[in-house]
Amino acid sequence: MTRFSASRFADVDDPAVRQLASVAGVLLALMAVAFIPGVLVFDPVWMWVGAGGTLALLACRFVPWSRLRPEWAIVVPVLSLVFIGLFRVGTGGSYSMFASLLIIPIVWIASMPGRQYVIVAMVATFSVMSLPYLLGTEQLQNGQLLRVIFSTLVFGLVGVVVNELSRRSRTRLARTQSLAHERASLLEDATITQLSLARTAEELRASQAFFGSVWEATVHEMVVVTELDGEIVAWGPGAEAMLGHEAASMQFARSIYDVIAVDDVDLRRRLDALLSAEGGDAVIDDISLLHASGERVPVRLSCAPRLGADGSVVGRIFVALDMTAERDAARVKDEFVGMISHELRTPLSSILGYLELVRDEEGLSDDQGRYLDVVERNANRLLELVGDLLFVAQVDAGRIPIEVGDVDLTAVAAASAESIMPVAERGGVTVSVELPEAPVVVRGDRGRIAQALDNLVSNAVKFTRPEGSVRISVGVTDDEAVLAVADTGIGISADEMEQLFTRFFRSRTATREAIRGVGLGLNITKAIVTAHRGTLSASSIEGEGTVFEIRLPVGDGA
Amino acid sequence: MVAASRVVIADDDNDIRELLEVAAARAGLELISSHGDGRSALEAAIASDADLVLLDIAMPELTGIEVTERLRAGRTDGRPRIVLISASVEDAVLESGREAGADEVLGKPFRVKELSEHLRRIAGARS
Repeated sequence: MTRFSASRFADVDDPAVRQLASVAGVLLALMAVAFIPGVLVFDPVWMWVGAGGTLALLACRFVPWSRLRPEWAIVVPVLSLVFIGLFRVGTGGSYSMFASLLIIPIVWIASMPGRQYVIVAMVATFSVMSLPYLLGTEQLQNGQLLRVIFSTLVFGLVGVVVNELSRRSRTRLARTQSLAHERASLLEDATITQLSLARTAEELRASQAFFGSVWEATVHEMVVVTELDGEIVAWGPGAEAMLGHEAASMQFARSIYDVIAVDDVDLRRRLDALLSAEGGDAVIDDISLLHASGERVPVRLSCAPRLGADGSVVGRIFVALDMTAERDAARVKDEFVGMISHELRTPLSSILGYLELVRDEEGLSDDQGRYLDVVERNANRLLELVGDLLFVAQVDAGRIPIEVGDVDLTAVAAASAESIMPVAERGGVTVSVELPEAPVVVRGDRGRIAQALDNLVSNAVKFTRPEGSVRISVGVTDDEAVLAVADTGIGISADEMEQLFTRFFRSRTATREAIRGVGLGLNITKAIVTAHRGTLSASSIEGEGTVFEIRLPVGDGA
Repeated sequence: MVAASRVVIADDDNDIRELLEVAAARAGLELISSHGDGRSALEAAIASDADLVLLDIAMPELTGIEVTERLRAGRTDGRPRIVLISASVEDAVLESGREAGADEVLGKPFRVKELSEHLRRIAGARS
């Protein structure tokens, strides 16, 4: 409402335009004075002042009304009233035939918003009607005052009527404006809604295009969307490629269970678990799907819930990766392991076997005996290398052979020290063993744990120069047994520590000093320790020595 | 004097087969025949009613395990004693040899002396 009351005056026409009515009246009066004989001119000065002033008020055209308070516009009709009053004074005063011209500014004043302008109009009328007496051009005689008052009251009545009509007119205008504003506002809302709808439609199209692109891109994975009962509602291009069925023949026609090969109870149980999974993480690795040709496709199958608009589960999304290549690779690897076993170990078996037969012969010279030692040592080296390669292949295949039993680590450490002793003596390295009095027993594979420790001990001796030392120790904490091998060897540089357990890694010092090895020992040791749920750690200072620690859980099965 | 136990030997590698023959001889066994494949070894073992059969596992025609299965399928008296030898490091292979009914499964490479002792012990325990 404030907005409309403040603009009430803005509705008033340009004062200069309104003033034209007074100007026209005065010009008509002047023409009457000029051309009609007998028109009274009492005082030409007042007549011309009045006429000139009325005309001069047109200059209000140049007043910056917009910068002034709207009430100031009243100045124009009030002055106009005064000038017409002066014109009246000059053209006969109370006898002037032009008194009716006063009605023009009076109506103007009275039409302004507010009852007070009726009062203003009456006061102004009274004053102007009194001008001849105030200016002394006429004498106030008996009855004249009454005439002035009567005229004022009549004009006042006119003013009341005009004011009321103006008020009603303005009210109607305000209502009309309010309606127009309301309509504009509604129109604006409608436009915004329309824009929003257009944007939503655009987003929907973009979303559909995005989804469509993603869907079409799944050419290597089978993606199938189903209802809760398994009915297929969407059959992806990858599914078509993988299983040979066209989407049109599957969608709303077949069930996902028509293409999953469920051969046994265990697989059925695992499939049920997969179907009840809440996320997409659950997978079955060893399941097959049925190709249109009847062949089986080994896949890795995962299943995620399909949600409806309200977030409830309305179906499922099956994703399958073709594992044929992986299965083939695993088979080739297995065949390779088998081939290595047979083709490398068999000739080595011959070499070692016949060496033994030769040694059993009598009459070998010392030199011949030494030569045979070399042959045997190297055949054993080859055998160890083949064994290591096979072990690594088994680790890769996830098949570390572990025979679990009670293993006394003190006995393992003592045996390891004993077996390395001849090599250490040849290299001038002192080997010492530090064992607790009581046995330290863990659950694990004695042979594998011994293999892991032997690797560490043999490395320690290999990487320690003559007069250095290697110390093997066994300790136990509340929940761990610790096998430690410390040497005073050449050490490992800090930047190589991270790669220490990487397969085929050889340290710079090992390469520089031509210390033999292929970089499998620590990798194998790590795999054995990990298979026993233990940890293997190393710390080293280059040039000072290295400490390896195997920590195994105590009183727990591997 | 107790008659020497009689043995059938099979390995597709001639060199290894000869080593097996030496080991058998050192164990005091009497060699019936030696073969380069499983099928002929099976036939010889059945035909000769051998006391002991010494077989490689990976062989053409029939594997050592298959020969063992067939020998065991025929009779329940534990005859003949069967020793399998394998170059495999796969526990599963060695285990399936035992499951097939072999009295002993040994890995390659073997020491001739140790193999002889095994053979002597097993032959000595013949039923």
